[in-house]
Amino acid sequence: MLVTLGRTTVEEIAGEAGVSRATVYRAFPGGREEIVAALVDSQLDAFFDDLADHVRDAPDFESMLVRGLMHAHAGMVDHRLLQRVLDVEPELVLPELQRRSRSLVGDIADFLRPYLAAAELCDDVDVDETCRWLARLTLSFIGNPGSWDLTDECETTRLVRSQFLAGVVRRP
Amino acid sequence: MPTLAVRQCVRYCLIVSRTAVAGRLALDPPGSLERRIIDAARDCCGRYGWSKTTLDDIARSAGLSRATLYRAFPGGRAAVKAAVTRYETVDFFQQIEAELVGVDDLPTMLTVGLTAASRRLADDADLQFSLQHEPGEVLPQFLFRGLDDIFSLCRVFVAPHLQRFLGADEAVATSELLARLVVMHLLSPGGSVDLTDRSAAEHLVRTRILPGLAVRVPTAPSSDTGGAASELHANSPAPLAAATHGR
Repeated sequence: MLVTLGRTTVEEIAGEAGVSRATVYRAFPGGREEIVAALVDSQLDAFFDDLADHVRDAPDFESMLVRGLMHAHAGMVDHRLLQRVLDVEPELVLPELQRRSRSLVGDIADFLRPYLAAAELCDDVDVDETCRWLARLTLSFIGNPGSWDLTDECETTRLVRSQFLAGVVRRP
Repeated sequence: MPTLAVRQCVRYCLIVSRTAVAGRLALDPPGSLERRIIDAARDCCGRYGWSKTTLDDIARSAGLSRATLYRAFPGGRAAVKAAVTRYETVDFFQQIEAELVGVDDLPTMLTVGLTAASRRLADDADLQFSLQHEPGEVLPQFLFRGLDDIFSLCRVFVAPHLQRFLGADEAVATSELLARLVVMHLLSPGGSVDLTDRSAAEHLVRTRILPGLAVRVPTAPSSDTGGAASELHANSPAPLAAATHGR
């Protein structure tokens, strides 16, 4: 994509797609805003489908989180469209991402639940609540890792042990 | 006693580095041109929201000409907005720091940090208005790269206080975690934990934050137990190599 979303007009999108403006509006009656929302949805779905595939066969819960954080971080850094939009016009895409974050937390929590339930848990851990907690933390770290180096497996493991799983999963 | 010397040295280094950073973070003094513009912009924003505030509104409210305003902020509206955000963020962290100063134990300090910050944000009517009606104007401060500024202020205003109980790297990592939790709460209140509620925050600290920390005994009159404290915690994170580098 050569131009940024905010300055992209429906005409340009129609021209690029080889359809008329009317056809675009038939598919997206809300015009540009609706197209941005659909684009965010499809990018997020692709991102998290890929992430799920990448972690599905992890040997245990801890390595699932480590693998997931590292893969998601790399995917974020390499996501050219997202990086470009964050550079140029974050105000356009962040409300959409924020709007989707609630359902994302639910989806990630659902994904984690069977794996967490199979792990050896500390006393008084509520599986549903903990899954949502871990999902929210995961999104926060994908957005910005702070001073943690999520390209380093040892460091990511330390992060997961100290800030994700301490008090949740028993360590051998 | 060598331990005391080390302690004093660490404290001295902290103060020196702290002063160096704080110099760059100083707020524009009341009465300065910049401050007059910032105050006027905050006033306008409070009345109309950011998206409806123009540079002319700010100039009129400050009783200044557009030209004067541009002289102070050559970047125009975007520069004024950035200055307001910076002013409010530094001011926010100064208030939070003031709440941490007299606290004598780690669990209370973590709890106070979470509740004081969350309450302050929940009570900020302008911020809540913007989140509700013009999220594009404020979300960039709290998501993705916007967190960089918040984290670096955590290192200056919060981490040094946590360092009374934690190693330097762990103090930084923990201050960032607190910021994450406060931002998570701000952006989706009514989620799992209400951080404006003291007992809920206390519970979170006890069950989710403390178990991941190797807590240092603050002042040890019986110094022969020095090494025991960290051995008690099998999952104490090793020093965070990249803790203080800028990203």
